[in-house]
Amino acid sequence: MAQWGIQAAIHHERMTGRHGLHWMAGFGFDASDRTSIGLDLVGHLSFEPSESYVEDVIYNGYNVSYSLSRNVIGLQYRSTYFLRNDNSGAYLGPYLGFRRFDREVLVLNTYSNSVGLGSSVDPSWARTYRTTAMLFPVGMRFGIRSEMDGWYGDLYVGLGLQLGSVKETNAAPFLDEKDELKGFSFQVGYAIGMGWY
Amino acid sequence: MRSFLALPALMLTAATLSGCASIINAKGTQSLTINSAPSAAVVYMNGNEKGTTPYVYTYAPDDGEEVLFELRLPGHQSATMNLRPERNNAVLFADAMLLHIPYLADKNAPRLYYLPANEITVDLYKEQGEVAMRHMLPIVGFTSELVNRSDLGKVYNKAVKLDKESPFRDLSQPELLGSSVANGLRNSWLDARVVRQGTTKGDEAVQKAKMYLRPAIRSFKAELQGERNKCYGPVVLEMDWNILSALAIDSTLVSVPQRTTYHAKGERPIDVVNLAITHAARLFVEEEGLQERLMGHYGSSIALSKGGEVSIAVPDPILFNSRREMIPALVKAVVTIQTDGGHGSGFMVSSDGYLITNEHVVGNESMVRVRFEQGFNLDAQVVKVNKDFDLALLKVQANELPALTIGDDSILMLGEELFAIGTPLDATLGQSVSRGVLSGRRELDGRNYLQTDVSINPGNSGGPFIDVDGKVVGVATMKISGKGLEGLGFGVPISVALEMLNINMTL
Repeated sequence: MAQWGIQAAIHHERMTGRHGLHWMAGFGFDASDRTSIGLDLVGHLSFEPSESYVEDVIYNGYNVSYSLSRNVIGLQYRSTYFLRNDNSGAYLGPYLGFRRFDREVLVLNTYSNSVGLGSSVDPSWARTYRTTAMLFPVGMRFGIRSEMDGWYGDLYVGLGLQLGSVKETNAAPFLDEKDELKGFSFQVGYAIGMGWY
Repeated sequence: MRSFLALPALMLTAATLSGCASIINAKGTQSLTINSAPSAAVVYMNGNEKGTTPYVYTYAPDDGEEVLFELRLPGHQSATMNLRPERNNAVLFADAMLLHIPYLADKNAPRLYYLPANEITVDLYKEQGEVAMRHMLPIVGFTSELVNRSDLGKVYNKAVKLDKESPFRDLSQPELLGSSVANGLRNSWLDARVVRQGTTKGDEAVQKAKMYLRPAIRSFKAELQGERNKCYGPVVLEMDWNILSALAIDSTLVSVPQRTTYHAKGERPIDVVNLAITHAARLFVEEEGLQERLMGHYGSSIALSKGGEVSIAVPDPILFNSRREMIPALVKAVVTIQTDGGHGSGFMVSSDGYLITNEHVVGNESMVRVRFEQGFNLDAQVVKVNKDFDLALLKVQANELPALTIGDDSILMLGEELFAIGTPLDATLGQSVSRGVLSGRRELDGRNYLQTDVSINPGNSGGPFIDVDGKVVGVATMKISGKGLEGLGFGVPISVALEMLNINMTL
């Protein structure tokens, strides 16, 4: 009954304004035939060539080019209750964790659009912004686990809150889209794992 | 603002679930009373003696996920019962919602479990002892007076009717309940089997057995508690055990009214009908004096099968000077019996024309043709048959015929040499001789047989088994054949043949 397992997941979590894909890897333990616990490491997953990308915006009469990079690393503890007594099928349960969220906004170029008044002096807001936030997501997950010959698949969604320090993450005034780190969040993921007794 | 509202909501949920734990704990029970019928049985739990019934058991997780109880009472068969405590899923749910933190304390706590009932009664059955001989009792039909009755009791506090959805729907097809009776009578002195009257095999079984069983259900009332597919509680069953004579159609030899209480111990409600009937059958066979009464009827039936006594004069022995001359001399007393359906073998037991063969050789014919080794044919009258033992006595109108001397089958030793003489396969193979040894003495269906590896084949039936002194010691009756099987022939001992044909050999 007490089954152990390791799993890897593609995990979407609504943490930022733009990016949401994460990887997740962890282990689980079926504490009883109805309940299970697990601990996962969560990281940012990007399919772009580098961890940053360049945006061009118009701010305060300037064309601003900036690069933005983000990184997320965290842990998630999950507890589940299965509606069936064989550790499979539909389940629900709370999760709790933390995320360290790092972001760097680097101004690459500014150019004034004012006619005849081209300036070689960068405005004071044209600087590098580095912010770090500690977030504590907490919520409920709902999912379905299916098992086959030692392997299992796990499809889930989660609804919850992100608590923690979020004040300075949007300090760069020229960002065209703000990160939304606080308040409600949701997650959805699919995990594949292997289990053993 | 939303986050300020959501967080307290989450916390409130957790607190509510935590608070539910005390209510949740009230579910089920950690103690149950184990009774036995009859009472005062010694209770062993996981092999250790704990007390006598009624015994109050309180569950502790250290006892394991499945607790084995054994009940012993002198004069009764011991009974075992596996008790599987149920997980209290509500506690597990609360634990899971509280991030499994309480689980660390709960996992070994009794409150995580509950027992499935407050009280369980274990039925104990009397020891049956060594069964010397089993008596065939075909189960022919099973009647019920319950059809369309709606007061069958309650299952999980819900009244049960006899309809298609009813857990007791088997009662509406009582003809299917015979196997439950056979289960209850297994290993007893009654060899009960379900047969269908009106079929060849069924009618044969009834006739062979001389009496048959036709149980009838008069009433059925259950009060079952429990959950899902595990029910507990009493089932009161009233039945009539009717034993009828196969000799006189529909004449009841014995009718035993019976009221029994079966105690369900965690079975599915749908299985309870069959289990209650099996229970009733087990108690039926324990009925005081039943065996003696049935034995009396059985004895009368056997006596009827024997028919009237036939006195036969002991014939002059066939003379031979040496062992080498023995068999060529004896074959003159062995005949081929021809009927419309085929042929078999037989042997003369008197000089004035009496001969013995198998009942299945002559079948229902009253006259058959007998061919002698010397080459002449005579018509023979079937004097009597005993279907129970597959024997027939025939008579031809002739005198001074060579006849075999009756031997003593009781002194035959295992491994002792035996000869078979008969007409296997085809009438042209008359008086074929084969040789083997006595392989054993067997009891099949309550009848004694000599087992031998003498080669016998279809057509040998009714022929003699002859010992080394040239005396007949048995009647070849059957063989067990099949792929890979050899040398499994059986014959009726000559002493049994004479007794069951009621032949008195006179000097």
